Amino acid sequence: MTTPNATQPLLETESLTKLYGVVNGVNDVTVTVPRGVWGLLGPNGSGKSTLLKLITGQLRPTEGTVRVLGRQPWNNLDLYRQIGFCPEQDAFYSFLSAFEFVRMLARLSGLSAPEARRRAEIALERAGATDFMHRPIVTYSKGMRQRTKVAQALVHDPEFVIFDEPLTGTDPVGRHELIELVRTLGNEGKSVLVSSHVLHEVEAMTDAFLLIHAGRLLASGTVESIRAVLSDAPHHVVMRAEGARELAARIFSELAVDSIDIDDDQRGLTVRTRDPHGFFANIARIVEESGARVVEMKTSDDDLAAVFKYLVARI
Amino acid sequence: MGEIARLHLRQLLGGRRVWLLAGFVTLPVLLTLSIRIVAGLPVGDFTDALHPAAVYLFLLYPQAVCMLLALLDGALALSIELEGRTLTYLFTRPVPKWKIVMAKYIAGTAATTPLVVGSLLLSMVIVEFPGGVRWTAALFACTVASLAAYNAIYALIGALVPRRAMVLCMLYSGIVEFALSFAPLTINHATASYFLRSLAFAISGLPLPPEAGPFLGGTEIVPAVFGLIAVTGTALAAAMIVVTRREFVMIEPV
Repeated sequence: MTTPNATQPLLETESLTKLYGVVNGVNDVTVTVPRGVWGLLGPNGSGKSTLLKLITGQLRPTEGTVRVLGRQPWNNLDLYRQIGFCPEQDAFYSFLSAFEFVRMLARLSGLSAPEARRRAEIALERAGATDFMHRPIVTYSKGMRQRTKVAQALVHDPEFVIFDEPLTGTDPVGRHELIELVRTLGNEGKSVLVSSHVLHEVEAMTDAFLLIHAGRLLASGTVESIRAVLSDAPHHVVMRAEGARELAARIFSELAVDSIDIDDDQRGLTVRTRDPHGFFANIARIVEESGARVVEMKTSDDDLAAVFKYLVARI
Repeated sequence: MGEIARLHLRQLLGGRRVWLLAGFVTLPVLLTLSIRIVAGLPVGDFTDALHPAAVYLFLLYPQAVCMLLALLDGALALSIELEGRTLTYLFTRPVPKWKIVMAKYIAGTAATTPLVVGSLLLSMVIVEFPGGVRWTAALFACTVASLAAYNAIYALIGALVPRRAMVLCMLYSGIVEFALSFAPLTINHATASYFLRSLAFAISGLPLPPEAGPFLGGTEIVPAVFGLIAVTGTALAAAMIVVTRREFVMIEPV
């Protein structure tokens, strides 16, 4: 796992503020982030996506400055060659196949036609999308679309890769593979910024994080420093699966959970645990062993919101 | 630019819009055919006067069908990316934003021009080329110029107000192109319709009473062509500048 230790900053902001009318998206953020793998952690609506859009040059600061790899990002084409962005939104040209989509974006990144084809195949393979890459995107599952988004962010071999909530809606296997991919990118010397509202997702990728809440940067540092805060707080994990009842029994017997509620339709279950670290470390194995088919897994945002309230109160 | 152009063509011709597109070029032919069957052809000597069928085709194609096609293409070129939230992919690549506008404009105009020209040709066959060779030339020239101009104007409106592009383009068409273009206050020189009428008069060679000139248009071909180029070029350049300089917010504010 790569931790930020390079000398040249990945990101520098000075009093960075973004207003939507009178609403604060990002509020007076001043930070210098060295290169490496970073998590951007905050509850939904905390300003993560706004900050990422400022970093990727899609928005202009209302006040203050932002510099990425030493350059301001707005309309900076040279910088765009070095940035790969995987957006949160589930948006595609659904009439294209993953291969056509990724190849097209490789061409727009300045690659020649043969090189774009070659890189598209490599990126799709890396994202685990080779099997379905020639089918139209409109036929894809959520996980397939997520892999396609990841591939387009990697296709031009950027120096800095930004993932906005990449694990939302992915199945346990996809989640595991994406976490491994982020780690591998870090080991290859790439800088990565992963936004999430789930601490344990970020923790599995890196031990360095930026904590944002209500548009303000609350803290930056290691995950351990807030894990202590989380230790006594219960966490809710919501899953949808075929074979939910069998999966619930298996989870209950093997993991430290307080309770499991199964929905009336016998497909949804909500797990309450005080050991989220242990839960996420073992859930992929348990799902595989139980034979259940998990189609969605997400962590309730309420837990993290409580932690942020706690942190805000302490500042 | 080629990739953006290809993408735009697939967006235009690959989705539900293609049915509207097909309707907009087919229905005028059917309408013309119906009128021909029901009313027959106008009878009389129209050597020095406006041929009713030619006027009908001028109102139908350069003034209506081209506007409708431009609504589907130019007005939606950007807003469809914004509402589909795919603009992120284009705007985080090292492609100047003005090139995205230009590529979409060229691709859309190039794709729709043969369709509308084919539709006009069929309609002209049905009414037996009213007004002779010069009116035929005038109608084709005005149709091509109209599509180019309205695509550019609507692209500008789409860039300025992407979330209300269709409505505002329709309002613009009604207020500016249909009403203001007849206002004899020189303000009509800023409209495409004024120069389209001028081009039609200039190419067809029909005499225009001097007192009607300030309302309807000129009779000189060079000012008409330059006027259309100026309107089209200004609108397209302004669209490219707007897209390059403004932010397009695709997320809900926190």
